Amino acid sequence: VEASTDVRALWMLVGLDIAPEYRAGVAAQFLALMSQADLVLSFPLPDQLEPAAVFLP
Amino acid sequence: VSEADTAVDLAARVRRGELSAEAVTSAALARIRTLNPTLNCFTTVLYEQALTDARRLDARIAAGEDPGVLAGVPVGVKDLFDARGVVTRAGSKILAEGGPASSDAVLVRRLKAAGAILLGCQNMDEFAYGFTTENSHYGVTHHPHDPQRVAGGSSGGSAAAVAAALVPLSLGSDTNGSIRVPASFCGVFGLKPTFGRLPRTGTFPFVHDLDHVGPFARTATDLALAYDSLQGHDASDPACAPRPIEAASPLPADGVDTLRAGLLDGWFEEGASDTALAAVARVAGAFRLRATVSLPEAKRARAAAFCLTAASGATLHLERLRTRPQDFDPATRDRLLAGALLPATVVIQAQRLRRWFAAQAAMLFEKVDVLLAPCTPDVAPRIGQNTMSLRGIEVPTRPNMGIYTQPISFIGLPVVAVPLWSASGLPIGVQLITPAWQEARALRVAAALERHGIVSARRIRP
Repeated sequence: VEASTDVRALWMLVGLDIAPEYRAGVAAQFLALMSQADLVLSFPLPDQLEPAAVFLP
Repeated sequence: VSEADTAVDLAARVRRGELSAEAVTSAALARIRTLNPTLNCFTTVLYEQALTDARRLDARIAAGEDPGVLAGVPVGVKDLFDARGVVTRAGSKILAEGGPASSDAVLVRRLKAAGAILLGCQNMDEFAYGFTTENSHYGVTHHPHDPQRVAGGSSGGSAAAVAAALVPLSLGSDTNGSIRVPASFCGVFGLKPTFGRLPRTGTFPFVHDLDHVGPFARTATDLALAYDSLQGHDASDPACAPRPIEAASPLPADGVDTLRAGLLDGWFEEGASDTALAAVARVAGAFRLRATVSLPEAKRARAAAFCLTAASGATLHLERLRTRPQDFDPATRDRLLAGALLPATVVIQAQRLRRWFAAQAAMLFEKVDVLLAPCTPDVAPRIGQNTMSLRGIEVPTRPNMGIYTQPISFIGLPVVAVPLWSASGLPIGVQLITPAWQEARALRVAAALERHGIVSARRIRP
């Protein structure tokens, strides 16, 4: 897998200068991750549903 | 002293003065000397310190002091627990450059306060991001029953050390299945308590809102004893719940006679091998009251845990990823780098899905008392095996080991992993899942299944 321009733009945005030898591996992992992200984002949830992160004041 | 001794037996004999803690410790260290070079469970062994601690405990017993319920019991902990004087590396090369821990993790302190003797620290996937314990810095931990196979991970050294009877008890951590997967592969009991039950103070983190810590043992009774010794609030872990100690010991004898079991279908059987399905069916068959039940959207719950892990892990390690990516294990590096690119919308939506999914599980517990699912889709894969067949479909081995554990830790429910044995001679685990804070119920079921001869750990072949 060759890193697409889009993925490269993302890692520049977060300040990661990913070495050429890692780029194909990272792009492949990113594609796998985004397929899981699609499963999360494509499920409709009620507007009132609050995130369940952990913070107990 | 025999390698078949349980923690309960050893502690009882040490407390009665029939056996010295020094003799127990010496025997365990001798077994580690013999077996660890091939199994690679321990990455640090505290030969001198353990004997010093054991002699000190013997002196206290001689002076008439109560040495605690784990008197003289040898234990090991995953290499992400601080042990005073030892560098906590979390399976990494990078953290190995740091100084030794100045104090013990809270759970290590509690084990020692109960009389346990710490023998050393155990191998793991780098930064706990993996299911196989094939560590490029510290080597592979081998499966005690078949050295050509992995022990599972990320708490692989801890599970394998208990399976190989190097110690009767170990501590591990579980973010997505890292106690339950190696317990399944190695054929031992493992407890992932409710999220927030046991403090993580003094452990190296991975994903703050998913990290759990818990024990491994070779019997349900030992597991409950260890768990009881570990309980109690600690304010230094912001996620630790201020709950009283709710002792699971002594375990009642009636777990499968009165409780209702729910076999999880759908996601939790799709892709499972015949071996995994047979193990769950065997456990279910022990219950008088049982039904098949569905936990909807488990696939999405697993995806959410997957995304939260990648994003949080990447955030934790971002500076190290920027400055020295070459020092990471290649198996963790690319996934962490990818996680740094995940949009915030996915993270927030994953946390919203968590509340929704937890409510679905809570509804199931109105009908049943314990949910059953395989720990892993199959028995342990071979070392270096990159793909596995899930009902005829080839999938990557590493991420797919946790498909049945991830949806459950995502919502923090307590689970006891119990070991069954397939015709091939390899073990596989079943998850006993109970409502939040009901660890004692899962342990009670584990004990009943053990008494019925359905679940057990086995001694390794000589």
